Parts: sequence; C-alpha cells; structure tokens
Amino acid sequence: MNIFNSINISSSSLTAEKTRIDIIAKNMANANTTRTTGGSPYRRQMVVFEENKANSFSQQLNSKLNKINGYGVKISKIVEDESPFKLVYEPGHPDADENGYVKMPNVDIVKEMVDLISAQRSYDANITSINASKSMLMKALEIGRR
Amino acid sequence: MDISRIREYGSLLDFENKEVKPTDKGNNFGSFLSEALGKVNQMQLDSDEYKKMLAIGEVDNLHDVTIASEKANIALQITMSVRNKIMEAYKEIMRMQF
Repeated sequence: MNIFNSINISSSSLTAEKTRIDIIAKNMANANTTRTTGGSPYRRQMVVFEENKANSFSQQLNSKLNKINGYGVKISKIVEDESPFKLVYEPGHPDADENGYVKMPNVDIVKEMVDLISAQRSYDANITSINASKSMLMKALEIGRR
Repeated sequence: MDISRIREYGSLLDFENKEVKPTDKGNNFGSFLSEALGKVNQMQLDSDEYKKMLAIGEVDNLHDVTIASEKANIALQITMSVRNKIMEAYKEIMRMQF
C-alpha cells in the first residue's frame, strides 16, 4: 500500500545494514585466521550498497501505478579487500614461511569497530525514520477528532 | 435566513419513485470496502506468518517481524477510524426526522 512506502524503504535499509553488520562481525571474527579453504589467509570483505530501482517491467508498472518512488537500498555484492596481507614475524607459527614471517589477514580491528558503529547508527537512524512515519500516520488520523 | 431552498433537496428524498440501481460491478462502495478490508486482513495474516516463523526460529531479520506487525497495527487503526466515520454518518442519517 502506498502509505507504507517510506516504511518499506526504511525496512530495505535495515536489512542492508544488518547484512553489513554480519559482514563486519565476520571480519572481526576472522581477524587472526591464517588458513582458509583457498590456502591464503582470510581477506577482509566489504559490502557494496546499491539503490534498489524498479528493474523489471512489472516493477516499473507497479511503481508508476502506485506512485512508488523507488524501493530503497539493496546489497549489490560483497567484495574482497585486495590490500596486501600484514606480515608478522612469528617463527613458531605453523603457517610461517622460511624467514619466520606469517601472513595475517588484512583486517584492521579499529577500522572494523568504526564501521560497526557507523552501521549501528545507520540502523538506528532508519528506525527513527520508521517511527517518524508511524507517528505521522497516527497524527493524520487525529485530524478532525474532537 | 432563507430556508425555502431546502425544498430543492426534496426531490432527493423521493425514495419511492426511484429504485436504487447498483452501479457498475467493482465500482460500488461495497466492493471497494471489501477490497480494502481484504488488504488489511492480508497484512494481519502476513504479520501472523512472520510471528510463526519467529517462533520456530526461521526469521533472518527481526525487524521484518516488528515492521510487519506495526504495519498491520497501523492499517487496522486506519480501518477502524474509517469504520467509525461511516457509523457516525449512518447514525446521523438514522437520527434524521421528517
């Protein structure tokens, strides 16, 4: 329904931010992972957000008929950070090379923490937006009430 | 105050000579209302479905559940206020005296 348009858009953003937090959690959990199935250390992952436009014919038609202004945001893909691994001198480590250096994942915990706070605040902001939409609808129902 | 104008509306009250014709199918008030009620009901059902999924632990995003329930709640409140308006109008007409 058209009156729930803004709530639907905010809802898409909540889903996107939730996925972002999932990915950040994965990065932080694997900050010291030196082995993956590919053999290399864990690579930091990032989410790429994309505006969710009406792509298919039916979506286009629906958005024109119901005057829907876009569908919010979606995660278009999850990419790997191609920056180099950190080399740590640790000769006793089982994954150390012949010089005693271990390739650690290119995850920076501090950076992940900042991203986490950012994602959390975006989530909060979208919830505030949903609550604002709801209170506007409730206020609109009060028009003419004695 | 000129109240004689009210006579012009007398023809509106001439029920006996007029038969009430239902307008085109799908265009009358009843079908509009039942369609709208169907939409509200669908929201309640969606909300119930989400709650069931939450209970059996199949929900990926908790906010989907709360938003579905919130939407159902708002839709119901809007329906109730429409219903109250209609009932008010109906009562007003029933109180009319000739």
